[in-house]
This record gives sequence, C-alpha cells and structure tokens, in this order.
Amino acid sequence: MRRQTAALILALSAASAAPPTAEAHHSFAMYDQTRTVTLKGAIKTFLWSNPHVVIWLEGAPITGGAPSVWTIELTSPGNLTRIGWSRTSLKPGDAVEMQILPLRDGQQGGAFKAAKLLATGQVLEANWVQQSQTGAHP
Amino acid sequence: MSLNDILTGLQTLPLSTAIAESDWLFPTIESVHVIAITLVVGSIIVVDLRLIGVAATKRPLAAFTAQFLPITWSAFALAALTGGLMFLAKPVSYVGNVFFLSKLVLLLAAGLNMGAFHLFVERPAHKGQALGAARLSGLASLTIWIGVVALGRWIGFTI
Amino acid sequence: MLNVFAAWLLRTPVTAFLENAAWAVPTIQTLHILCIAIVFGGAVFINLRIFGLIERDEPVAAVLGRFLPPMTVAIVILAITGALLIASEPNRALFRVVFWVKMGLVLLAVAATWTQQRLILTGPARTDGATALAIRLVAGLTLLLWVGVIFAGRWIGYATGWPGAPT
Repeated sequence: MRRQTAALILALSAASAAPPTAEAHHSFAMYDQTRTVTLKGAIKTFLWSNPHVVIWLEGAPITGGAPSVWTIELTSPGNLTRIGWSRTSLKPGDAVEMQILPLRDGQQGGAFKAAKLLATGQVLEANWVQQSQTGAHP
Repeated sequence: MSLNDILTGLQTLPLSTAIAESDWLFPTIESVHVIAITLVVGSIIVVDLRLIGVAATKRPLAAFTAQFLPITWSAFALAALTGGLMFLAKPVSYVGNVFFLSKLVLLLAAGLNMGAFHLFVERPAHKGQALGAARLSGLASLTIWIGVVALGRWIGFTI
Repeated sequence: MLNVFAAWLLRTPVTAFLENAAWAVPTIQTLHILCIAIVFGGAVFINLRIFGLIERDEPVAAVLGRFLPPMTVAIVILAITGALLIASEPNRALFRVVFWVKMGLVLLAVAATWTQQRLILTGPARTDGATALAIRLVAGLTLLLWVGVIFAGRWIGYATGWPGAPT
C-alpha cells in the first residue's frame, strides 16, 4: 500500500503540471509590487463580475509605446462596493490615466491601483491586496 | 440570433447579475463546486486504482463500481449545476477562454471513456477478463480527470 | 511580528521562484485540490460506511484501513503545498482572519479523524451502544469540519486584510 500511495503521489504531481500559457495573470504573485506603470487611454470594457472585476483599457504607457489593449484586474464587486465603487464607476469610452502594478512577465496587463477620469478629474482607487482600502501602497 | 446574443442575454438575467455581483453567493457556489469535484475525483480515483489493479485487488471490481460510481454521478450532477451557475456570471468571457473550452472537451472525453467502459469493458472485467482494456480505461479516466481539475484552476488564472 | 515574517518571506528565493515561474502557482494549486479530493473524499467514504450507506459487507475497520494511509500522505502534501501558496503571496493569507479559522478547523478535523480511528480500532468497546453512538457523532463532526475547511479556504480570496496588514 505504501508503494502504491507513493506511486499515486508521483503520478498526481506529474499530471498536475499544466502547460504554461501566455494568458496567466491572477494570484498576486504575478504582479511586480515594486513598481508602478502609468497608462493613458480609454476604457474599452468594464466587467463588473465575480470573482474579479476587470478593465480592458485601450491605450499606452505615458512613457511611450503604440496603443493596444491592456487587461487590468481588480478585486471582487463586493469589496469594491464597500469602498464606494459601483458597476457604473467606469464606462466604455471614459478617458483615463491609470496606475497599475505591471505583470512580471512583461505582458500588457496589471493589477489596478488608481485611475483618474480625465473628463471630471475624479480619482478612483482600490488596493488589490487589502481589498478594503483605497489608496496607494504606503 | 447569434451565439453572442444568447450569451449576452444570459448575462443580463437577474440570476446572473446576482451571482456576478453578490458578495457571498459566488464564493458559496464555488465552495460547493469544490466539494462536488473533490467527490467526483475522489470516487473516480478509488474505482480507477482498482481498475488499473494497484489497490484493494482482493476485493472484486464489481464491489467498487457498484458502491462508488453512484457517488461519482451524484457529485458530477452537483458540479455541473454549480459550474453552470458560475458560468452565468460572465458567459461571454468564459466562452472566449481556451481553458474553459478545453475543460468542456475533456469532460466530453471523460463521458465517452466512461460510456465505452460500461458498454465494452465492465462486464468482462467483473468476470476477470479484458484486464488490459480495464487498465487502459482506468488510466485514461485518471488522466482525463486530473486534466479537468488542472484546466479548472487555469480558468481561474485567466480572464 | 507577522508583518516581519511576511516581509522576510517576500525576499526569499522560494518566493522569487514562485512569483516568476508562471506555471508554478497554478500547478501547486492543482496538486492542492487533488489532495483535497483524497482527504475529503476519504473522509466522506469512511463516514458513509459508518452510517451503513456503502460497503456494508466490509468491516468499518477495513474501510478505515484502506483510506486513512493515502489521506495521511495527502494531508502532508496539503501542508507543503499550502505553505508554498502562502510563500507565493506573503501579504495575503496570513493577514486574514478566515485563514487562521481554516487552520483551526484543519487541526480540529485531524484531531476528530484521529479520535474516530481510535474509537473504531480499539478493543472490546467497539460494539457497545455508547461507542457506536460516539463513532457516529464524531463521524458527523469530522464531515462538518472538513466542509468548513473547504469553505474557509475559498473565502481567503474574498476576505479583507485586518488593520495594519502590509499591502
């Protein structure tokens, strides 16, 4: 039984290794928490849904680069509602300047930190890790 | 009416919005889904290890298929129900997710493998025959279900 | 003090590896789930036997003897994979109440399973009414505890950190 159990464990471990993917971005480990990238562009889609609210932003970093679609993750709708967000906080077409914690693998995405609506000057913030607080990291 | 129309329509149902936005409903459905899939995989592992011939070989195969496969089926029904409810939160997004689609394909493969087992392998295997086919069936089943779990996790890692 | 530990974890090579290898965390999570299937599945099957719902032709002790060894190995792997998952995001799980609730429930569930094993396997009291009732009560309790562990585990991702947690 011991040998069989060991074999089972080995098999499970081997089989668990899934192929790497170009799209993996979840688990805060994926984000570089030591730096911030500022993007400028327009909201393409604002997906207000569990488990994570997602923003697709059409734009580019303010440091330069061709415009493209960036995928930005936030926490759940419940957590965001608690700090004053709603499903209409952002709308397709809204021009914004956004700070994100970028993906480590260099792909065009990140974790949301803050966004300023250029039309009204309103600033929206959310702390992805703490999930209950607004504001940037201390 | 295109597929996209149907999916977008599903997304705007009151039930879908509730699941998409609620604080506690989604994690509850997820937790029940985890319980369901662990029972599917747990019961399948018991049957498959016996099929492959590495565990409890003194006990007849028929005892395991009769006792544990009903658990597999009930748990699968619950997993499918909870999975469907989570799907409603963002149908358009999931249908565009290659890991979600692959998981559906693997589930189909699991069903086909189980169908083939019941039709061609089970009765001879109960009589101690077709042991090679039984082993293959068990190995295929284990591999497919581990793949289903892995893909399910990767869905959570992609948007 | 926990803040200091988390800050230290953030700087270790293990964490760096987990953060940079894209496949590492999902693979570890998948292994974690497969081991939950073994532990929770095993617990359910043992308890179904205790309540006489499956394998009535096998003695309870035999069913226990078949499922407990793989469950034990799986629990150890759960502890290791769990530790790695914490290391991959040191500022998250450690600072949520529901994570510590989960740890408490795990300890209670393991203790209940061990109690169950002793009740079933020790001697002459096995068949008397009081012991049979105790075995059933502990069986129900272990199941509830494991279900609690699964719910608590899922909720870590939805919980908010306590005041003073690092960001």
